[in-house]
Amino acid sequence: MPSSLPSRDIQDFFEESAPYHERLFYLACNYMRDPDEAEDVVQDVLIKASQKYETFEDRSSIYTWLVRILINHCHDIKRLHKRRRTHSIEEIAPDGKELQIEDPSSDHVRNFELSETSARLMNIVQTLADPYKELVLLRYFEEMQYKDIAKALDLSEGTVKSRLNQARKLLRDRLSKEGIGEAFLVS
Amino acid sequence: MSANNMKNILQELEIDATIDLPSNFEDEIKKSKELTKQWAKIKEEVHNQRETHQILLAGMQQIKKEYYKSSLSKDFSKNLRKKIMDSGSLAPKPLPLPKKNRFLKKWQVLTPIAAMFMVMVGLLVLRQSNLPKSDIKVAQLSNEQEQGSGLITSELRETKASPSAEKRADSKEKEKDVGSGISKSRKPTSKEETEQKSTLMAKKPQRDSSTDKVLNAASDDGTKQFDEKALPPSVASSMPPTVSAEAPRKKSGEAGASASEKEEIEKMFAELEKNPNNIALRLKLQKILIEKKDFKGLKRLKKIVSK
Repeated sequence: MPSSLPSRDIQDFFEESAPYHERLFYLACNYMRDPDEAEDVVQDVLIKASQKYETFEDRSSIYTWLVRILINHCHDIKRLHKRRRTHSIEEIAPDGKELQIEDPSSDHVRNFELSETSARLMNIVQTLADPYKELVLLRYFEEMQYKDIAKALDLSEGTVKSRLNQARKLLRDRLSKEGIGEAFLVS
Repeated sequence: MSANNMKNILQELEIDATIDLPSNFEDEIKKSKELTKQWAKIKEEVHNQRETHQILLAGMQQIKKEYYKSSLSKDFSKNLRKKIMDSGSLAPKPLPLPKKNRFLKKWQVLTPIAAMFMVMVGLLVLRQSNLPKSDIKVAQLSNEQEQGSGLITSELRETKASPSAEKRADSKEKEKDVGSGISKSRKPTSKEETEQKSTLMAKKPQRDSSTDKVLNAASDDGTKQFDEKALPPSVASSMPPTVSAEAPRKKSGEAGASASEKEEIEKMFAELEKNPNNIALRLKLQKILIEKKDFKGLKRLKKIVSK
């Protein structure tokens, strides 16, 4: 260790963040298609967080803070993927070949051995617009409280509640069409 | 439970349908007609919302269980610690520099900025000093004019005390002298000057006819501007209107200078011979002779002075 002060900082950071590494990994799994990518994302997020650790204030829990960084990081990656995809389309298009663009939500969790119903539910959630999808994941997957979600997404609690209401409304129709709801309620 | 409490719960349900409800909620609602009406409006939506909520909770639990089969690699924490150390994010920070060093460091940053600023200012000044062509022409022509009528200007300069006053007088002269060649507003200060004035007056008829035309045109108008058409084509084409009035003086100066100047020099010599202690006159003559590179004249002057 280089000196006592930074080693203590690293120690602090590890001690505080360690309990949430797995949780962050599972949350990242919802954004990434594969566990290896999700692990890379978590690692990047934790490195980023360690760089900003000195600026972290105790107004929110470290987990909420880490979730916020993770969501922003996943958005960045998504944007990058989108750009790459557009580039590759532009590169192929001039040849006149018919393009088959993959629907990113079609097999979102293909690298996880999810049951059919779970995969379908996750795919339906993935079809939601980002603001709704994030809220649903944080509320139902992460089981976070409204106030923590509000802090993580920089929204008011009222907005979180009303948006979740809207998200549930949207999901209700899709779930009933797919007939998924009953499967979960029965089990 | 009071009706007010029930009302609040109903309002809350409209915002968030997933809140916990008291076990006797529906019985309490039935007690009040108003609440029953209100509840009837939102009942279906609340039920749907709560059902979806349950589905999502159950579904996500299932998904999580399935996710848990995969986990972070064993070396994750070890690798992460190493990477954080390598990235230097929590590495020791350099100690603050001592005051002197901090000052030096400040200057290390500021000096190039100051240098850049100086260069920019220099460039601006250079750019401003690059006069447009017409201005250069004006300057050239006025120089030529000065050389041409060197006699007049030198005489005038001698009489003026300060260089600034001299300049002002010159410009005034240029303005007023167009027609006559002599400033009328200026009063002769001494005998000497009266003589000089007379010599200048004598120069006037020696000017060539084309210039005289121009000068007459200018004096007729009572302004320093004159019609370019009156100028010989070569002069008119090359001169801006503001300075063209000055140009003919050069020609007239060249043409009639030699005879009148010689005459004047002779007069000055005669004057000096009479009064060799007149330093002003001596200097003036010396200057004229140097300008004309008249070495004989200079020798003569030396002889007179040495007497």
